[in-house]
Amino acid sequence: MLDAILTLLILALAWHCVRTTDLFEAIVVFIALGMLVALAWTRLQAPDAALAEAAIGAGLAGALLLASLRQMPEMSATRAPGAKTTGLGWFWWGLWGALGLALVSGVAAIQTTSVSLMPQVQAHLSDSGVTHPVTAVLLNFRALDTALELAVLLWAWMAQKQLFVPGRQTVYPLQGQVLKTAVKALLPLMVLVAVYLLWRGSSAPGGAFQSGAVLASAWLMLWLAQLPGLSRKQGGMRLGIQAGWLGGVTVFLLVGLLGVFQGAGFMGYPPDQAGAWILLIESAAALSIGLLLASMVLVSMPDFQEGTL
Amino acid sequence: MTEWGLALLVVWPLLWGALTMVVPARQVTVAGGLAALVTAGLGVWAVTLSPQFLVLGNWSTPLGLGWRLDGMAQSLIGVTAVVGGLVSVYAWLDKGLPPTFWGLWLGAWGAMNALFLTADVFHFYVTLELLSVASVAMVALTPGAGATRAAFRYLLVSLTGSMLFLLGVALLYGRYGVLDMTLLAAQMTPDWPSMLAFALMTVGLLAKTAVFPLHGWLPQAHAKALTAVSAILSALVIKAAFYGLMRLWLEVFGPLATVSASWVLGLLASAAIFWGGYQALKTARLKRLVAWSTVAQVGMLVLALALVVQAKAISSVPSVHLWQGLVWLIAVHALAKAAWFLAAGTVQKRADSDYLAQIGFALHRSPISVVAMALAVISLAGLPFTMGFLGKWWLLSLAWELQAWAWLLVSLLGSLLTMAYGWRLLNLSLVNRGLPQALKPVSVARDWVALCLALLGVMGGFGGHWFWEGV
Repeated sequence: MLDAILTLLILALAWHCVRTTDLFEAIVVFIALGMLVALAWTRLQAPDAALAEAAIGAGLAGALLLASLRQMPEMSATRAPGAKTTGLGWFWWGLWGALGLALVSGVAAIQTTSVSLMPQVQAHLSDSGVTHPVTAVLLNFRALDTALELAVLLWAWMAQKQLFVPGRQTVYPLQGQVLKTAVKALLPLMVLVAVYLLWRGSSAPGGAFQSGAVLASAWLMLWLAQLPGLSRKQGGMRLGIQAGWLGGVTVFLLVGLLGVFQGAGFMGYPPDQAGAWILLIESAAALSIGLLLASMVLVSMPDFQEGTL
Repeated sequence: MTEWGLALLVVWPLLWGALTMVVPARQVTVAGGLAALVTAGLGVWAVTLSPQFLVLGNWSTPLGLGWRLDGMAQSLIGVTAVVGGLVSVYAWLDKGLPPTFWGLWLGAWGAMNALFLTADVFHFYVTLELLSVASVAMVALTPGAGATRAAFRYLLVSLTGSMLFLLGVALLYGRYGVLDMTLLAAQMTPDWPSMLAFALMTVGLLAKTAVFPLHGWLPQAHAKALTAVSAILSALVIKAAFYGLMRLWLEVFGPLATVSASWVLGLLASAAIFWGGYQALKTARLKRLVAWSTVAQVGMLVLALALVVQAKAISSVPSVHLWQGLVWLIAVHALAKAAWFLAAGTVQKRADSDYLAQIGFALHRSPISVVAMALAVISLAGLPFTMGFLGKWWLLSLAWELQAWAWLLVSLLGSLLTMAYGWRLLNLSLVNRGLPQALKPVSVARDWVALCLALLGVMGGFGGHWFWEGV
């Protein structure tokens, strides 16, 4: 029953998100949609995916979209309401509709013959250095997947950084004593949560991506409250931030090369050291993910100034 | 030793690409250029190795990821190394290139090497993703709204392609419970989920390869990009997606790739050859012409793939030199198209215009680039004594053996069209050169790089024996 309501809600929100003529409304609906999809993941017993979807899919993607919307001229933010669907429009509806139906029937055909690699994962879990199967797959069995996904994030930032045009709009500082005090109180807590999520990742749902998302929001709050902190032009801090961006990919790939040296194969670890290496990689990755995601949102803010990053 | 080398083939360009973000802007060209040359060296070295299968982290498949260095992968890594190395030299000479180029290009190169090596469909998706992000960003390097719009369009098509591919991967995993290509190929049965996965992944890769009618993004993106970027995108990046098509049609989905399925490919390919050729004949701009020619030549590659699929499905035809022919055509196109784009970019820079009506005099004053373009056209059209000739000969004899007269005709007409739009440029430099005008100073070394690529495309024809008989 709950699942049926959830499915209908997700479909309705997705429909509304596509059909609405107001871009702001579309973004708000998109964020709500992300939260519901996260709920759906928990119903499917995939808490790792749920955490990532809520933090990144709904939270940070939503923040990015809102920041981009503020930079768009008023005119382009709305589409003419009541526009008739053209012939080409119907063609696309038909095409995507057919794709949806095909997928439903395809997945339905699979259900009866379900197979997976889970038995193999469980059989080798004791040699992976961690006890949570998802972390074992992401950081050990298929480590290069994750290393290259981190690279995707870094290269996306490289792409965004080059597109940044400084000095577009006026400053809207979000100052205020309440915000400052709240951030001061919350910040240590958020860092603690991030570290906890990272640590927990070895034995239960959690890990670098979720931890990184929390770090990113902590940094964003710090910046919004305009507290003296990370985002200043000091040389040492600047270098630290740059090193943080690269840290995840670099540490991961270098440890991967070390595996060749130790005879554990490229992107492998000797079983007795695996736990320690994985923790090191996850720490560097969480810091990288946090810095990269926060930088992406910051640079999209209208009042962002060049030289801060 | 081998494992080190193969690991560095991916890790080296990625690490250096990442490091260019912190290297001071003045030193980026040196750091990036040297890193690119080492990558090229590693790639050439990989061609000399014996074929092998490597499991990452000592986890045997299906649990872990497999890397497979076979003839197909080695050839593509080698082509990327040679073409990528020479384009890097050109980029080094191009002082107008923003420093960000090097980080993006090295990232794309590392992603391509990983893509050629991987034997895992999900990992293939990850490498495609990294390659797309880097490629789209390279298009956006050109200042101005036009290039940004072209890049955004490319991004949307590319992302849609990736999503379709990923849906197919999910269906495959749900159906077979493995992601390794060789294991999938061994279990493949023609049921509904597999066919759906086949269709989705094919359409996704067709969009990324810019096969008609999903080519709409290419002429803009490749024409608006900076010269070195155009060469990289046209010569190498779309080949990576085409390599995916080869793996899917010839290996993973072997039993599903029937003769009737190959007809779909053949029809799309024919449309691409004619439409791309027609547009190249019509356009008024230099780089547009070269970009539309890519659309047509991609059609030729897909047509060859359709023929190879037919040859594999009909067992009565002796199936020798099947993938070799495809790889050969890829190499022909990569060398010729890189040479053509680099030469065109040099001329465009000299004339300070992209309009064919205004570049006659600059063409006349760039004899080296004109020779490079002429050789590239000759090789693409498949005239004798070039690499292209051997490729075309193989294609025509395959069509002859299969008695596929329609495809034979299309392939011949495609060559004629190539000659026709190639002649438009040569005609400008030899006959209708226009009035003398002031030219921008551009280093002649850049013309020579283009000529090197074009000459390789010709001389490769003399090395044909070693490839066709040896591999």
